[in-house]
Amino acid sequence: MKNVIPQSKEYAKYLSKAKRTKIFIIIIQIGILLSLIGLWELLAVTGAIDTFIMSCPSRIVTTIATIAASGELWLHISTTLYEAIIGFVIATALGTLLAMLLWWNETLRRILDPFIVVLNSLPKIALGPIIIIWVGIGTASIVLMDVLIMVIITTLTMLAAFVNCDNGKILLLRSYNANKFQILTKLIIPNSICDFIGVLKVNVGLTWVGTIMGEYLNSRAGLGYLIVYGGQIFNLDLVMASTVILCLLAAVMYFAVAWIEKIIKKRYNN
Amino acid sequence: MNILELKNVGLTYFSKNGETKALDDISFDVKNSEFVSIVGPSGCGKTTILSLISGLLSPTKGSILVEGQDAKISNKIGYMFQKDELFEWRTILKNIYLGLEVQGKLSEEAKLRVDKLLQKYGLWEFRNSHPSELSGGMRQRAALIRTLALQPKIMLLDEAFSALDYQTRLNVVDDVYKILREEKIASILVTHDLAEAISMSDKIVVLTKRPAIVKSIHQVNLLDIPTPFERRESVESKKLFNKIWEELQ
Ligand SMILES: Nc1ncnc2c1ncn2[C@@H]1O[C@H](COP(=O)(O)OP(=O)(O)OP(=O)(O)O)[C@@H](O)[C@H]1O
Ligand SMILES: [Mg+2]
Repeated sequence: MKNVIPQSKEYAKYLSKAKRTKIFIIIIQIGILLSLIGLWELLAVTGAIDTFIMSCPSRIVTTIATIAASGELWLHISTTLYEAIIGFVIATALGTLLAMLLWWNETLRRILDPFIVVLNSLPKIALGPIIIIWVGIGTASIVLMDVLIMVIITTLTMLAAFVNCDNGKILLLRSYNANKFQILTKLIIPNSICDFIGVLKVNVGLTWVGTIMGEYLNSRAGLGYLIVYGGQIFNLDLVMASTVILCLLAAVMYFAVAWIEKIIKKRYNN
Repeated sequence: MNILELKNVGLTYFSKNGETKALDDISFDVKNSEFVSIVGPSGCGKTTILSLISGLLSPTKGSILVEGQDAKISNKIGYMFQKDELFEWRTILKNIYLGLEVQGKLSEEAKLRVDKLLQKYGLWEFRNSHPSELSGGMRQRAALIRTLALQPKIMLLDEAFSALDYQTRLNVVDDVYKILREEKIASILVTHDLAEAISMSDKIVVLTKRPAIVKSIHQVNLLDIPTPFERRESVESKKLFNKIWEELQ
C-alpha cells in the first residue's frame, strides 16, 4: 500500500465519506447480529419457543462455560482445529504438487484424466467405511477424509490454472532457452498465484466440511463429536454451543487465510 | 560480412489435422547491423521464419547459420513479440533481468549495463514500477531493453508495434530504430505495414503466399534521411511502396 496524502479538499472529503460508509456497514452488521441474538433470547424468555429443541443464547453460553469448567473445551477445540489445519495443509500442498506433476508430463495428464474426473464426482463420504477399515479409527481416518474432500478439486483447479498460461509468455522464456523447470518457477507458478489464493479460500471452507464429516464417522473428541453426541442424547444446548464455536473457528481461520492472501499479494503486487 | 544465412530453408508443420507446408524454399542473408524486413501475405510463414532463426523450431530442410554456427545452438538472437509479454508480478527492472536470470548471466556488470540502458532510454524513473503503470509505448521500450540486456547480435521483431495506436506507433518506431542503429544490431522486422517496413529497412524480402518462397529482394536507399518518420514522406519510399504493393497483389 502506498501512502496516500490528501491533496485537495475534495479528496479529503472523498476519503472521509469512504471511511464513514465503512463504519456504517460495520455498525449495521454488529446491529443485525446483536438483534438476532436478542430476539432469540427474548423469544426463549417469554416462552414463545421451546428451549428444549431451540436452545437459546444464554443457555449456549452456560453450556460452553460448563464444558470449559470441566477442562474439556480446549480438548475438543484443539482436536478439531488440529485435524482441520493438517487436512487443509496436506490437501492444498498435495493437490498443488500433483497439478505441477500433471502440468510437467502431458502424457501422464492424458492417462490420468478419466480417473481424476471419476474420483472428483465420487461423493467422498461413500468412502467412509473403506477408510475406517483401511486406516482404522482415529485422527488418521478423519484427516484422510478431509484430504480426500479437497485434494482432487485442488489438483483440477491448479492444473487448469497452470495449463491456461499465456503461450506468448512461454515462447518468450523459450526464446531465452529456458528449461522446463525455469518455465515452471519463473512463469507458471507466479502466474497462478490468484488461482492459488482462490483455492486457499475454497479449501478453508471445505476443510471444516471434511473434518466434521470425518468426526461424524468416528471420533472420541472434537466439535463434530460433541454435535453427534449432543444429538444422540437430545441435548440441543450442546449441539448449538458446538456449532457456535465451529462458526467462530471457521471465521478465525478464514481471516488467517485472508491475511496470508494479503502477504502473497503484497509480494507479487497484483 | 553476413551475420545470418538462410539456405534453401523449408518447414512443414505436422499436426493431427494433417501437414502444413509453411515454407518451401527460403534463402536470404543479413549483413552485420543490417535492417531487413520481411513482408508477404497473411499466413505465408513470416512468423515461422523468425521461429526458425531464433531456434524455437528446426527446419525440415536447408540450414540456418548465425555467424557460421547452427541457429539452434546460438544464443545471439533477441526476439521481440507483438505483445510486450511483461510479467505483471515483476517490476520493470526485474522484468528486464528475466532473460539474464534464465541464462545465469545476472552479473554486477550486466546490472550496470541495464541501468545504463534504462537511463539512456528514459525508463530509469520507472524501474521500480509494475508494467500496468506504464503506457503502451513505454512497455514496448521496456521489452526492447529486456532483449538488449542479453546483448543479441540479431534482433527479431514480429509485428512488434502493431499493438500500439498509430501515433504512439510512429514514435516508438523512431525510438526503436534509433536504439537498434546505435547498438549496431542486425534486425529482422516482420510487419503488415509496408510503409513501416520501407521506412526502417535497408533491405526488404518479399514472400509469396504459402508455401512461401522468396519472390524478390529490394534494396532500400534512404540512409541519408535520418528517421523512419521522415522517410515515409520521401518520393523514393513511395515509389518502392507502389512497386512492392504491385508484387503483393
Ligand atoms: N504450430 C503450428 N502447427 C501447424 N500449423 C501451423 C503452426 N504455426 C503456423 N502454422 C501454419 O503455418 C502457416 C504459416 O504460419 P505463420 O504464423 O508463420 O504465418 P505468418 O506469415 O506469420 O502469418 P500472419 O501474417 O498472419 O502473422 C499458416 O498457414 C499456419 O496456419
Ligand atoms: Mg505472424
